[in-house]
Amino acid sequence: MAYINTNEISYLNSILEKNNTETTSRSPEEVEKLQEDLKIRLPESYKEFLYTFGSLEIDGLTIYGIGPREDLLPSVKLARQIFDTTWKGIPVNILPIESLSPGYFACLNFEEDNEDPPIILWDFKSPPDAQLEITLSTSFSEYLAKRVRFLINQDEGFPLMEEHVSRFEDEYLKNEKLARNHIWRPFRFAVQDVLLGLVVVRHSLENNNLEVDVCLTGDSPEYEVFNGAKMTLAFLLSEAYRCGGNMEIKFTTNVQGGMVPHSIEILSAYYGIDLKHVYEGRISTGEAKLLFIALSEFPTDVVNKIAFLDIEKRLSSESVCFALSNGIWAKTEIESIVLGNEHPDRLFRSEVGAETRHLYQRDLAHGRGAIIGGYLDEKLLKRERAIGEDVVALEDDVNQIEVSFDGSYYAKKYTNLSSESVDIPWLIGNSLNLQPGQTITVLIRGRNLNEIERFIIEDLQVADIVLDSLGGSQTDTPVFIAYPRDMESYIAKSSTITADNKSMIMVCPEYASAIDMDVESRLSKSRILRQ
Amino acid sequence: MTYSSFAICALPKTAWEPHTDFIGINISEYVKDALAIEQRIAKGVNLENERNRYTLICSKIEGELNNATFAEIVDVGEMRNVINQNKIPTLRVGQSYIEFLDTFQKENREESRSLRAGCTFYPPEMLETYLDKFAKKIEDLGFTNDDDINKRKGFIIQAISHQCGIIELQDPFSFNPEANREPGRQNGIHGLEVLREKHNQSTIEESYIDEPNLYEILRREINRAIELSRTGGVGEVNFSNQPHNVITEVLHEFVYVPGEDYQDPVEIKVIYNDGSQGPNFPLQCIPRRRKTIEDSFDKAPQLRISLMSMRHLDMDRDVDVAWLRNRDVSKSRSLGDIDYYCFNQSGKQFAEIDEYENLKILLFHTGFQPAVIGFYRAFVYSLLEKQVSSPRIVVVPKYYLRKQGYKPGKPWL
Repeated sequence: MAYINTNEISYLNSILEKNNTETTSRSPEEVEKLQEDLKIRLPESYKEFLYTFGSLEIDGLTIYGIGPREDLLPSVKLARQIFDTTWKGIPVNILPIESLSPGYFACLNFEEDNEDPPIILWDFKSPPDAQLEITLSTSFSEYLAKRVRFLINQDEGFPLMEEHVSRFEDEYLKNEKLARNHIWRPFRFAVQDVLLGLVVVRHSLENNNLEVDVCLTGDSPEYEVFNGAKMTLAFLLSEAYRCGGNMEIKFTTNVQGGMVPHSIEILSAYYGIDLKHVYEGRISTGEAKLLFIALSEFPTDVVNKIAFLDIEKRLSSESVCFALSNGIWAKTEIESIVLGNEHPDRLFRSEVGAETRHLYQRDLAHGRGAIIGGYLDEKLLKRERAIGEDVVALEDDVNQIEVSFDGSYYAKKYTNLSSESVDIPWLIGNSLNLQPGQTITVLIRGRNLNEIERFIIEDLQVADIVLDSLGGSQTDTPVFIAYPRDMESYIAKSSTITADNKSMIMVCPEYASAIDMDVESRLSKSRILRQ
Repeated sequence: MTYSSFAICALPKTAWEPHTDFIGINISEYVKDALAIEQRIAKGVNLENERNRYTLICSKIEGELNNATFAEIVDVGEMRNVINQNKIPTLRVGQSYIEFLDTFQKENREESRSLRAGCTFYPPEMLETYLDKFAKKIEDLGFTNDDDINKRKGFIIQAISHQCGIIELQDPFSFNPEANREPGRQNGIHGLEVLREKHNQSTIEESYIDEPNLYEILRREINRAIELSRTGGVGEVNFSNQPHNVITEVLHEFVYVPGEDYQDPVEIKVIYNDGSQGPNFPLQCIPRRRKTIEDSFDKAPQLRISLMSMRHLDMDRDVDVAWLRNRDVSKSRSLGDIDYYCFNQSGKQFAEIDEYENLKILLFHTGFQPAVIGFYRAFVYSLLEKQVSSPRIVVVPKYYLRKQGYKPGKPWL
């Protein structure tokens, strides 16, 4: 097992001893039989592993092999059978060797008829022809070495973390001092006391990058896949941006011996991003950019537009991702801003003040639109249940509604994917439901009263155009226009809104002026948050 | 996506003057208030409140037109007829107007502000001066062949000849039936594919620079920016996170050139991490002074100045006066805006001390980059303006070292 060194093997043995875990070294005959049963030629490094350990099952590391029983994991034969039973047509040259997160496996890939095949990431929920086959390691021995180093890092990282915390408490917290960016600062990430990540970071003035001295991650099975690594990496990227460096992240020799932590490497593979400087212990600027975009999990069309703007140097993709990760704009709001706006970069840069009125008005209008759209999403998605006399909204209890954005009309589209109808909110003078399978289109027009007076006719005309394009039936494919609450004042004093077109109007409960304060606060935050 | 369209409206003089009106419209008081607020905003006074007030007032000015009848004119010769019919002559223009405003603002924010580019009203008495500068900017920014921009210019000319002012109304949600319905694709390729490909190519050139020499890093960046500026672009340098002493010493190397003559400056863009931009910095323009000139200041009267007040109180005992007030500099605004303020204020102050002969300023730095850059930029411009061969003021930076007192930098003169 070329990559793994004697210290690492000693470490493995010490863990096994500590846990009273027995391994059973396997004979050449047993290994030969396995090869025959699996109908593949196993690489030498994996065979050596089987000869030495048979299989491994310790806290944080389970490598399938020849286990105590063929009908129980960590039997690699059983793992292969489970694959075959679930998916017909899995290539015979894919051999799962570890479960990394529910539904994701590290597999030996013999496809190229390689004597020393690579390890790839396999998504168990997707069919064989939809696999990305991202390479995790070039060989089994490299993979095992990285996994063991990851375990060592998890062990050695805790005492170092405690040292940093103790120092930080003494020097800063007790003295109520604020630490500057170039000081080592410890952070802890937990969800309801379930620990997902521990890091210690600082901005390096010399290299203008983010240095990481401790990086420990742990995935909790209750949450989405790779949750610990995702949360930790999202923080590192945010911090790299916030500190004003070049986005490069450098791990010190205290982190997995100076390598990019394996959990982050696996996460990058999950996102289809190949990290090229793992052994240098750094994530380069370009890789950081791609990871930040991937972690944000924007819809594809949003990602692609952000990517083009980034290439044209009109918008830094990391500024958009940072706006999301720091809660300045929500994901659906960013979608509206990016897809609905010829120049979303201007809104994210928020360089203009009110005195440059045209530019500011444009930013304000799109900010209003994003926020109104966000309110409407929340209203439609939130399911309210009547329990006795009370109406309650339970956490994670949402209506199954698909939300998308059509930039050409600046409109939200909502499709009801469930079998229950959903009340359409904000209507005036009538009530309608979004029926199962039905789609509604809502033109978002963040206009104040003056602007409504000026442009209402045009808005109604555009709504008619959209309705025509969808087949012309306000019953089957209804089209609405959503305005701030200023519309109530307009309706009260104007005769332009007839009974017919009133049925198309939706009125958000907030006035434009209140929404403007929210927009201005977010623009202001964008200006001063990065240091 | 939707785009911004504009209705440019000509409003006769009677609507702008007190005690008169045009079809019931009089905006004189609102305009007076708005112009006063613009002055206060330019000074950086009470920015948040003033900007809120400005938004309200402009909204009122624009709202006054809501009950009027607009008449779109194709031939600007129709303007008089339309006014006589008690309607408001209007020209509609599209997205390129906001492109122009945005380009102008990015290229030179200070000039854009002083021209009131992006404002939504232009009183009749301001229009002629505005037009001259606007016409020049059209050329400078490369919009000479743009239809909408030229139509706007023509409309303004007519407005002036009919003694009208201009009010502009924007619709940011104008519908464009030709809009690109796949903004994330160009020539059939998705943006992310292109970004990944770009990353793959740059990985070959990217190499880890374990370079401890901050001076060298900044020199490299400035050299790159100068190269770009010399080939028709405007190179940019991000000065955030650079120590102030490194900035000052390295800029000094690039400002001075061999020889006796002043040169036309090569300008580089100054950008900061918050995405904002200060005014361009002029480089390679001041002749390097002979040692004898430097030495002539040895016995000159000295003025010990801290760059900003209230920053390092232990510096108090070592200085005579502060150049900038902390409360004026440290307002909640972008770093670029702060740079602009420090530059403008420093420029005014250099003009005030112009009468002094042989003055040695010992400038005690306080570390805030926009203030440092604003100060030295103003100093360079003051030298460029006078172009004297024997300067009368020298600025010697003094850098505070916690345990070792102050270390002098290279003199600026």
